[in-house]
Amino acid sequence: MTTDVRQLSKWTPLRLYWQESSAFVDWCYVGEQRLTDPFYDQTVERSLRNPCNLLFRHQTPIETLGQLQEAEPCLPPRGFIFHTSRCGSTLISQMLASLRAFPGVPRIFLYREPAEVMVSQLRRRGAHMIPGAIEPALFDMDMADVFRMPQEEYVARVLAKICGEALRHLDDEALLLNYRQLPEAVWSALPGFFGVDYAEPDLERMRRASRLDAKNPSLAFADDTAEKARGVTDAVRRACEQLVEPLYQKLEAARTARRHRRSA
Amino acid sequence: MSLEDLEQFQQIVLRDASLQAALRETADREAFIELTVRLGRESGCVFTHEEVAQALRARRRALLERWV
Repeated sequence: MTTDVRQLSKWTPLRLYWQESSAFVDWCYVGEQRLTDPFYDQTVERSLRNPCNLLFRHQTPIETLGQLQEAEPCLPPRGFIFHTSRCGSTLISQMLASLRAFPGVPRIFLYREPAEVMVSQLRRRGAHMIPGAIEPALFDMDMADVFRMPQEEYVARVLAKICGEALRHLDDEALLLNYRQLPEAVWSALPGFFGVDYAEPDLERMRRASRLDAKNPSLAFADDTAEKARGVTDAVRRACEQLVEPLYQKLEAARTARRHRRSA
Repeated sequence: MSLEDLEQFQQIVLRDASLQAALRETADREAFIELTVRLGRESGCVFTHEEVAQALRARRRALLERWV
C-alpha cells in the first residue's frame, strides 16, 4: 500500500528495517506529544503502550522520508552531538551518515576518561555494548572473537573504535569536548559553535537543567567521577590502558591544540 | 482468511483518521481488542479476538528483537 505523506503529519519514524534488500520505515503515532523525554525511546514507548498505536502502524519505503521532506520541509539540523558513553555502532553509523547527509553541519564529540565509561558500561550495559547484539564487523571484530574475549576487552574495543572514528573525522566542523568541561561549556562554547544566540532566560533554563540528572530529571545531578574511579578493577585498567587510553590521549592533545589555535 | 482480513482492516484504519481516533480512545487492551473485532466486522473484515491478541504480541516481539 502506498501511504499519502499527509497521513504522517502526527507520526514519527520508529525504526528502519530491511525487507528483501529494501529499506523501510516503521512509524509510530505521537500526536501532539513533544519530544522532551531524555531519550527518544521513552516517548515512543509511551505512545506504544496504547494498543492502537502498537497494532496500527504505517510502514513505508524509505523514499517516503524524502517525499515528506518535500511536502513539509523540516528545520535543517543546527548541529550533532556524539558521545562515547552508551552509544556503540549507532554512534559510528550516525556519525558517518550525518557527514554524508548533512555536510557542513557542525558536530561535537563528547568524551570522558575511558576507564570511567568502562566502569559505567560494565555495571549497566547499553544495548550496543552487549557482545553480539551489533554486527561485530562494525567494530573490526568477528562473531567468534566477541564471545571469546573477556567482557572488559569487548567494551574497551567498542570504545576504542568510537574514539578512533572521532579522531578520523576531525575537521573544522568538529568540536572536541571533555566531560570535565561540562556543564559550563554548554553555555560558554556551544552557542557560538552552533551559531545560535541564547537570551539570558534561555541560559538560566540551561543552568537549571544542568543541575538535574539528564537521564532522570527528577534527581539532582551528581558528579560521579570519584565513585567511578573507585570501581576501576585491574582488568578494566589493563584493557583500557592497552586499547583506549592512547586514543583518549590523542583526543586530549587535539582538543588542547585546537584551543590554542583558536585563541592564537 | 481471517488473518488476511485483519491485515486488510489495518490498512483501512491507517487511511481513516476517525477510525484511528475511535480505537485510540481505548487504552485498555481487552476493550481495545473487542472494539477492533467489532469495527473490523462493520468494515467487512472478520477476525477473532485471539488473532488480534496474537498480532499485538507479534508487534511487541518485533520491537524487542531490535535489541537482541
